[in-house]
Amino acid sequence: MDEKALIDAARRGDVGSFNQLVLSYQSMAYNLAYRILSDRDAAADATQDAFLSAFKAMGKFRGGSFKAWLLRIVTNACYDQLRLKQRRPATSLDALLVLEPAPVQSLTDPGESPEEYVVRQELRGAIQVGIGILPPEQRIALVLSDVQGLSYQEIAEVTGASLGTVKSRLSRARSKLRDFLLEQRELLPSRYRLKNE
Amino acid sequence: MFDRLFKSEHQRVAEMLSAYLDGELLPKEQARVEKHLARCADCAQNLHTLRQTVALLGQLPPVAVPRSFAIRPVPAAPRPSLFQMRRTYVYLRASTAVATILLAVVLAGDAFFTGLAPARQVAAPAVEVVREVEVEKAVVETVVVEKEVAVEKQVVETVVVEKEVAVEAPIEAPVVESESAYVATPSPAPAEDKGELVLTPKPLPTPAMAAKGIETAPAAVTPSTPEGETLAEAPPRRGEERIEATTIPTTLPADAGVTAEPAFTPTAMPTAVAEVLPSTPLPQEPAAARPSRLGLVLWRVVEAGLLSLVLVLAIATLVAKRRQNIGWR
Repeated sequence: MDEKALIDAARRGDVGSFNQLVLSYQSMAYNLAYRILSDRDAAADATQDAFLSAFKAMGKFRGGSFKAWLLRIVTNACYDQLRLKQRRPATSLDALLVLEPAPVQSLTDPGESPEEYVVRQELRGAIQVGIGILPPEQRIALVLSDVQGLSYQEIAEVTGASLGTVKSRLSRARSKLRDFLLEQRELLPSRYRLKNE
Repeated sequence: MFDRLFKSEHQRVAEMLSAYLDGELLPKEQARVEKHLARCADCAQNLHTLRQTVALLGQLPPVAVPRSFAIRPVPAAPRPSLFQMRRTYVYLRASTAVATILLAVVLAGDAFFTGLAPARQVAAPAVEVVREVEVEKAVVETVVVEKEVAVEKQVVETVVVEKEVAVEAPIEAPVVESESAYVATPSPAPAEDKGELVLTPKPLPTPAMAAKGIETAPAAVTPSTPEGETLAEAPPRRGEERIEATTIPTTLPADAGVTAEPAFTPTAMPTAVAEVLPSTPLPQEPAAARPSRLGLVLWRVVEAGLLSLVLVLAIATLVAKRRQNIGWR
């Protein structure tokens, strides 16, 4: 069954069809939530909330990009989680550490030593911390563009912002992250440093 | 001026570098950026680090989904029944609580009013008691009356006042009665159901009573106790006068032939009456007492009903809870 048929069936309340859509999009939704929230549990909660909200709101889906519509619900769920986090700030040290979760498949380079693997994990952790210090709307634009690979137009659809706003948010987000990573370069081996030419 | 223009151009291009990387600039803008990049090392450097940053972000591996986010199909039948069971349990629990509270209130009320009964009955029996005194006197002491009627016929006029007091007082208020003839005092043991009244004849005030503040009868109400008479003589005379007042119209003709008993001492009479009163059942139960007894019975019925209701509800609640627990499993 193609996506349109699944969407139509889901709009009629067919849970099975909706769950097939969930299977197609859950990795993207969870990864977006994780990159925005930097927290696995909060990301899982946001993803679950988003799919429940999406199922309830299927009747309101008026065509167009289902992916953009769904990601918009996910980002809204992420905003809810961020608000929740503000009300209950993390106090444990564990919550302050950004531990990169296991990737889908092992991306270990056969020639990569364990040390190099650790360093690469550290770099990913540093990038995630850098994403986490950005304002939420810049964070969302950055993740949607550079992690999820969405076009400006899609980002504008997901966030409900204009193309100009998307451009400027993304520009500021990248500049800030770049500056953050340049500050961190002494901590990383030369291979993974941002290099000034 | 030129420097400022160059600066603003530098800044504008710096803001466009991100979109330039993505090829999202208009051709005119793209040419402007490339022109600036050719002569501005800072901007070229910025572009390089930005590209690196974007590349690093793109290299972030997708993280594994911790679990399936598929929505569980909502079971049509079990869910509502489970919900209903839960609702039933909640309602039953609330009802049990309310019924228990009601029962507690009713029981508390019972205990409260039963405890207060002697004090409440003080007023009503006081009236009855005085009537009783008169009836008793009429029956028992007519002899005395008859005996002295002849002698004291002239006293009747003076007694008229006393007569009125004696007749009206019991009907109107016990306060008047206590002023006129007797002081009704609640028994020292109010816990008993029937509030015993000790009728104390006023003409015999003891020092102890005086100390307690019990008023002695005003002089106007006891005109038959002239000064100089012995205390022993005073009570029977007052009793006689009152008996005359109440019984002369009815009992005098019937008992005319009965002779007086000389052994009937004046001092013994009031105490005898006082002793008889509490123990003898009232010939006519006061109208006010009957509803209270009926009310008591009704009260008990309500108590029993509430108690059984609480028991039934408690059992039903336990059953509902058990069913709900089974349902959740």
